[in-house]
Amino acid sequence: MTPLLSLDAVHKRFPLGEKPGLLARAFGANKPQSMLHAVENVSFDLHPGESIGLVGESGCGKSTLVRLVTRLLDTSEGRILFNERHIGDVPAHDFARHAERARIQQVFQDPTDSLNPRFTAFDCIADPLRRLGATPLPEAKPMSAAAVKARVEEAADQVSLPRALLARYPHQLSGGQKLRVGIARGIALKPQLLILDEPTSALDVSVQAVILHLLAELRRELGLSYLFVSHDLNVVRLLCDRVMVMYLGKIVESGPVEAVFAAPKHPYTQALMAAVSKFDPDSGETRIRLTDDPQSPIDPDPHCCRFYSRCYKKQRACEQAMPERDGKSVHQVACFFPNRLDEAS
Amino acid sequence: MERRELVYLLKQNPLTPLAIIMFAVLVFAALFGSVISPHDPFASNTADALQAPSLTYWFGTDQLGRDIFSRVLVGAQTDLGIALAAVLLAAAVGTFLGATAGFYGGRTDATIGRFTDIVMAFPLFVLAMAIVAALGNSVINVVYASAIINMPFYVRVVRSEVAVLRGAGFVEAARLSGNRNPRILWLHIMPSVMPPLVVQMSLNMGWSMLNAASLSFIGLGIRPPSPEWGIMVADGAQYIISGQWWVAFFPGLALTLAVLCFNLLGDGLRDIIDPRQRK
Repeated sequence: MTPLLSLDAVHKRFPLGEKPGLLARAFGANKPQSMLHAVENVSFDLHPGESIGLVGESGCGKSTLVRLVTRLLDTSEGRILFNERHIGDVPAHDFARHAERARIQQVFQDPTDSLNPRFTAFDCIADPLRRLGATPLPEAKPMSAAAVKARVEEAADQVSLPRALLARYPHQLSGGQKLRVGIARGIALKPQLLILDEPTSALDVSVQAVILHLLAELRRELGLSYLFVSHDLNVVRLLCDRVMVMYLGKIVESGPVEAVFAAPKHPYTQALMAAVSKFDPDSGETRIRLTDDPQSPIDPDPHCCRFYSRCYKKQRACEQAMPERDGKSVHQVACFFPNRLDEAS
Repeated sequence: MERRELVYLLKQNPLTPLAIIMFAVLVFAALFGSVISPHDPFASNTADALQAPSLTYWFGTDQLGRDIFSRVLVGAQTDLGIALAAVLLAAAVGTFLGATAGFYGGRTDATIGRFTDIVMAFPLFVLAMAIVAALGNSVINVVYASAIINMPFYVRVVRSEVAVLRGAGFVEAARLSGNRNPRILWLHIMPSVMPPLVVQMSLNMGWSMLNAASLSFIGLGIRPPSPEWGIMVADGAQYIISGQWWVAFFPGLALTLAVLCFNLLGDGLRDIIDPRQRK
């Protein structure tokens, strides 16, 4: 089966500080500019109908990776294929008119921030339809106002948003309702890939459960593929088929949800799993405490494991070469010593 | 906005209703001044020159015997018109430059920012005299001068608002919805910039009226015998020492009240539109 989305060795580096000025360049101050390595050598495939969870701590590059996939940011290196078309080569500011724009949509993290305060819920959902909505080929004309209205109402129904609320402005809606508007906007164009960037993190727990249930249902009914970004492992476990664990710009472990949750191999994943709150405090599991600070993502040593400074089973080999995922097996891990939990601790 | 909320806000700041009433009077005078004025503002009557305020001549008469009340009334139109034209022009150009600078940032922002700094360095009178010397002494040139002087404030207000909003989530969402930069800036971001912009325009109207009157006071723009507050104050200045205070006083009072009205109105609008800045 051909993957819907395929990333191949994608890098994103941000230059830091001021560019050297004219004078500095003329007088040969050839100091290379510092680079922040936000996303490094990320490769993965997402198959149609699949749901992948992307987990990692704040600042690990999840959001940058998402912005690379939604083509709001240009990659520094690597290829992004969507439906076997190279979309990574299209500059981000031209992608707004690209044919695949309508097929990659996103539900944003903060439902308040992501809805325009001057637009009604209807206009928020209708905006992508007015810009990108088109009648089926071969005509491919812009949608009529009536067609837009019908589709907005249909999308509102799909996310169980009462139609009466469509005339309201975001500040007149509750957090859960705003998120439903955001989801309706995301599915309005009937995309193939829906990216969910911590959609439930701004909601209280009771609403979270309802929304997660809705998302699971939508995926089944509409045959969507999800890239689900979260730092809530339980949510990922509930909603995703596969999980990728990200640490300082690299994916350190990936695999089917059951396999990774049952037997995490990377020391970072192990620490992450151990930190999930359990119902039974006396379960006997020891919590792995990460000590020391994370390494800096600015000009990192390319021959040292990114997790080296905090790892509890680091060895000499870890600072002489960068461990990478093998790329073949189902459950992949970027660690030289994935099976030595007992002897190391 | 709820009506109750509006009433509450107006009660909180009793100066705002007062400013609204003053504004209404000002606009009424500007629109219908020539119709309701009791005397012809241009008709000189040397027999009645320099009469003190009386029942016939409420504000007295000037050195040519013209009725000052009628001239103040009719002058509202000129001063308000010049100020409004200058504010609209300054707001239009300033908004465009400020929005561009705030949205695109980087070199565009730096260029527009330095250009604005240069404009801000010019005193109004120097600039106005330069423009009048180069292009001729006409009302429209005075409007240009006033607009140029006021423009940097709009650039700064709009730039700062847009620079904050361009990073908002709804801008990213608009990109995903297939909007390109110009549409995002003008249709998605600008509606949120309008409230502070309107407040700025209202506050600026007062200054702009003062500018128009100041320029005609020194003889730029409007020329006698047009009834205009700045000229009337200039005319009256020479009679203050000899005791005919009313010639300069009443047009000066009108000007003061008009500027006060716009300042109070701007403050009130800010309270209503932008609750964050409420005291």
